[in-house]
Amino acid sequence: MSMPKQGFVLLLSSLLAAAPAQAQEPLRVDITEGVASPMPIAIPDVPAPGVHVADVADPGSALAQIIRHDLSGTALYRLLAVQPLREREGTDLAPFQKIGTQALVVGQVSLDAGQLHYDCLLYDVFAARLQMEKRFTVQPAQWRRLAHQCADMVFEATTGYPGYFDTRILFVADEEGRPGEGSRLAVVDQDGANRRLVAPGPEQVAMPRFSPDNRYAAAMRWPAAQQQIILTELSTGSTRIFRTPPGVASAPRFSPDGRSLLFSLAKDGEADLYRLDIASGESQQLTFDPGTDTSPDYAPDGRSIVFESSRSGSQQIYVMPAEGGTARRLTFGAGAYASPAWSPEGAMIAFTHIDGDTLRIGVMRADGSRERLLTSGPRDEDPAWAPGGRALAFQRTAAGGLQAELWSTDLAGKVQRRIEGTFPASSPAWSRTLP
Amino acid sequence: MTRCAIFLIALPLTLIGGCQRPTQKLPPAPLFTAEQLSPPKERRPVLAAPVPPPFGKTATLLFERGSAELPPQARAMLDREAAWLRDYPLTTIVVTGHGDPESTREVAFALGERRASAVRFYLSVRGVAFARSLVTSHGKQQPAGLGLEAAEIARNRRVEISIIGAPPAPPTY
Repeated sequence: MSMPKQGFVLLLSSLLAAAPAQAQEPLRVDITEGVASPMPIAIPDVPAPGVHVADVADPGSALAQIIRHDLSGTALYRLLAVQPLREREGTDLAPFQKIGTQALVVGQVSLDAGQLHYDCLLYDVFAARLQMEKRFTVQPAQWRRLAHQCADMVFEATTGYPGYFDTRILFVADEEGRPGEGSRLAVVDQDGANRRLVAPGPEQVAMPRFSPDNRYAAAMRWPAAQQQIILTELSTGSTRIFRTPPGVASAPRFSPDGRSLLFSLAKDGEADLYRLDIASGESQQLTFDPGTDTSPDYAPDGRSIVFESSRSGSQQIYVMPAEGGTARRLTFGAGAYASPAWSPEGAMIAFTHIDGDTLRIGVMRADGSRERLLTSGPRDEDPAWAPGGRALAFQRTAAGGLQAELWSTDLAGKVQRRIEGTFPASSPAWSRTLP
Repeated sequence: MTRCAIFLIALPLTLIGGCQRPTQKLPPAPLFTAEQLSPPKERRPVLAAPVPPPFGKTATLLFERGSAELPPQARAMLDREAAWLRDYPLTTIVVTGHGDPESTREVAFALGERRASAVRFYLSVRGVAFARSLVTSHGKQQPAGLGLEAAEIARNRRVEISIIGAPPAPPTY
């Protein structure tokens, strides 16, 4: 190349390098090899004192607080403390840029024609532009859902995973100080708000699970003389009782299409897995091995079943085809394994790890590899996946405690927190995202 | 010489052969028939037997951790239960098994059922027909004790037997 041409190419490339980059880095939490660098995020209060919602002095600030609580539980964001915003018009990004904010969430709540609206704005502060804007609308009684839906939008936009904040948790509410008496089905928002008993509802229940459409709970009742598998409609409390073959039936779990229930039937000292067809009420036996087979769960594609069995001499986790057949053992580590739960994405299985008196929650890949423990115990059990598979709820009994309460953890095991307002409680189940 | 040897050998043999060892006359061998293993069919007078209250908990049996084997104290208690139940053949019972508080939840239901089934089988061998007993399990949902000491926790590993069918009036002969 001749000298002038070289010079021209050099000049052009330097001009291009100096020009402001048009294609920005996407606003994403950087997760490399499973380790996240938390994204600095600011979620300021946006006071709206003129908007009247029952029992809430300032819904604007309350909603921002709910979003902060939701996102901080994921261990993927670093919340920056910022002043409340006074004006929505022309949000000035300069003060946020100065403190190193990468993402800014601004929510503006308004009341119009008896409905609450929430304008949820996500700013990419590095690129100095509005990344995404969406308006959510609910009836005033459900005002908290506005914040959860905004948090879902921000989570999905910044991680690529679906959000799980507009969801509920079904559990067994016990009576304080009287373990085992009067246990009832209860539902609570995943952040601990709006706890309510399913009424009239059955009493003395255990092991509830949501149906795939969130409208029903399958559970077992354990009254004086006969265990029953029941189906309760959550909005009305009306309950249907299934006839199961003779024996003690427990641990009912829905199939992904909602048409059948898996359960464990114990009889004459042995327990096997059965499938119950909900429409006809007919049961079919799936496992025939000696020992205790229990705690089954379907894979999300409905083609496999994971369960725990004592057929090898200790509690271990197995996978078999959904119609029954040869089971393959997944767990070979030290200690014993129980209560497997298949993640909604199909990639992982959560479990309770048993080491002497210590129970801890762990996860592994669906082929049994890459096993790791997430929680510290001393008595953590009954893992339940959030939709999207990025968080788990579980039941924790504190050392020296007598009754349990519900906790949640992110998938990395970094943030574990109590789900407020649920003591005493056990056996959590997580809903799908509400429509 | 050989005749002498034979005589010497033969003599003690005849003496031995003539000795009578003292023998004991053994009693005739017992014959184990099916009738002797099943309970006596006739009713004994029960004027002196205590009558437990109907519809109540009559026995609580404790088990070792993680086990459904009946310990000796449990067997002794069940022998007494079986005797009473044979005297009142119309009584029905519920055998409720409980799991260990240290177990995980699903296994606790299965362990309770194993314990209750073991009790039911033990009673059936002692004359309480299967049809008279009902097995159920409460897992670890209903702890007996609220304490955390080992003794309190051990109280949870149990089977409770309750009478649910009324016994007839005791005979008056």
